[in-house]
Amino acid sequence: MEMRKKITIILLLSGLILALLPLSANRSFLIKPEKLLSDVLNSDVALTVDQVAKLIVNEDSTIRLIDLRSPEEFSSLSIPGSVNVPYSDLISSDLYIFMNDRNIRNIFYSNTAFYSNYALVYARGLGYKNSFVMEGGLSEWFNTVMESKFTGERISARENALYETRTKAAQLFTQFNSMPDSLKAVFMAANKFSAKKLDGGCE
Amino acid sequence: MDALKKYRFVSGVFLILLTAVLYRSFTHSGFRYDAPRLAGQSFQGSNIITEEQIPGFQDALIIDMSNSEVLKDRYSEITLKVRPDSILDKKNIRRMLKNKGPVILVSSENTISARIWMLLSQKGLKNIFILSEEKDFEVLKNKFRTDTLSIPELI
Repeated sequence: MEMRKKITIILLLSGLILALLPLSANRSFLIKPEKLLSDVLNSDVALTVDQVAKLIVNEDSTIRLIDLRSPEEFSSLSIPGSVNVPYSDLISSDLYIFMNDRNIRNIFYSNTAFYSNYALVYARGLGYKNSFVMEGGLSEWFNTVMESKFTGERISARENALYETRTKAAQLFTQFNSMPDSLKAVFMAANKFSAKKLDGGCE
Repeated sequence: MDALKKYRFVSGVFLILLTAVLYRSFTHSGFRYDAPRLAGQSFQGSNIITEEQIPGFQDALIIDMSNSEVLKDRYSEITLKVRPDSILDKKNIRRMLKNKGPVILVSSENTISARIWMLLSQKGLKNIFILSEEKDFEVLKNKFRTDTLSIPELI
């Protein structure tokens, strides 16, 4: 075969391979923008602090609280049972490492609303429908759960149940965050993610 | 015709290649590639501004998704009222793309602005900011005292 033909074939085949290869390691949202917009504007993606408090008090094993703050902030103060994945790490890593179990609801929180809601859209955009957010973050947790007070007036059964849940959650929070650092470290280590190696292929 | 016959093999392969590229281009989700890089501006609140900063921006466009008319009254010439669920309408996207200056997202809750910001950034729109009443970004203002009778207090 002529050299010219050989070179032509090699170049064209290379081009074909490049066109069909996945785009290196770059990640892109998988869901259509309109669908994602509809998903993230749906109220179901957000849990109130009361809902999260109830899940914690009931030791619900179908949730995982993901604290998006820095390791220093997390070790200083955090919601019991949560795991720390700093926002920058979440964005720069493969989410599969943290969110591979589709049966678990991953609930993001941060100090306020920004990081957690960015993470919500980011995760859902990449196809992780099991992503949720705790409304208002730790600020709202403090304002609603930690500052819950019983006024002494007559309240309904529903209000009483809410107050009880808040009180229990506040106690858990206080006890956990009052632990000595050494005990806390042991407790937190048990909740750290271990990086999962990808075997390759699809989920 | 002779030239075509001569290069039919190459033309055939080229057509396959072209089809593959077109397929990849038009079946893509509608978002840009490299999601982590596009999300980068959200680190450390570099995309958050306060109202005092608005006059300092040239050619700013305010996308007001709130129920309030306050901003529209103050900045009527540069404010566009948009419902959050219609932010992706072609006319709105076109308006944002055409704008020479920054696009500023406003809503009654930072929640909505944050979500819309991430979505628009992933579509490749640049120079988008979120208007926030709080100057401090992701700061916990509540204090926690480590004792069993702790009562959180505001700093």
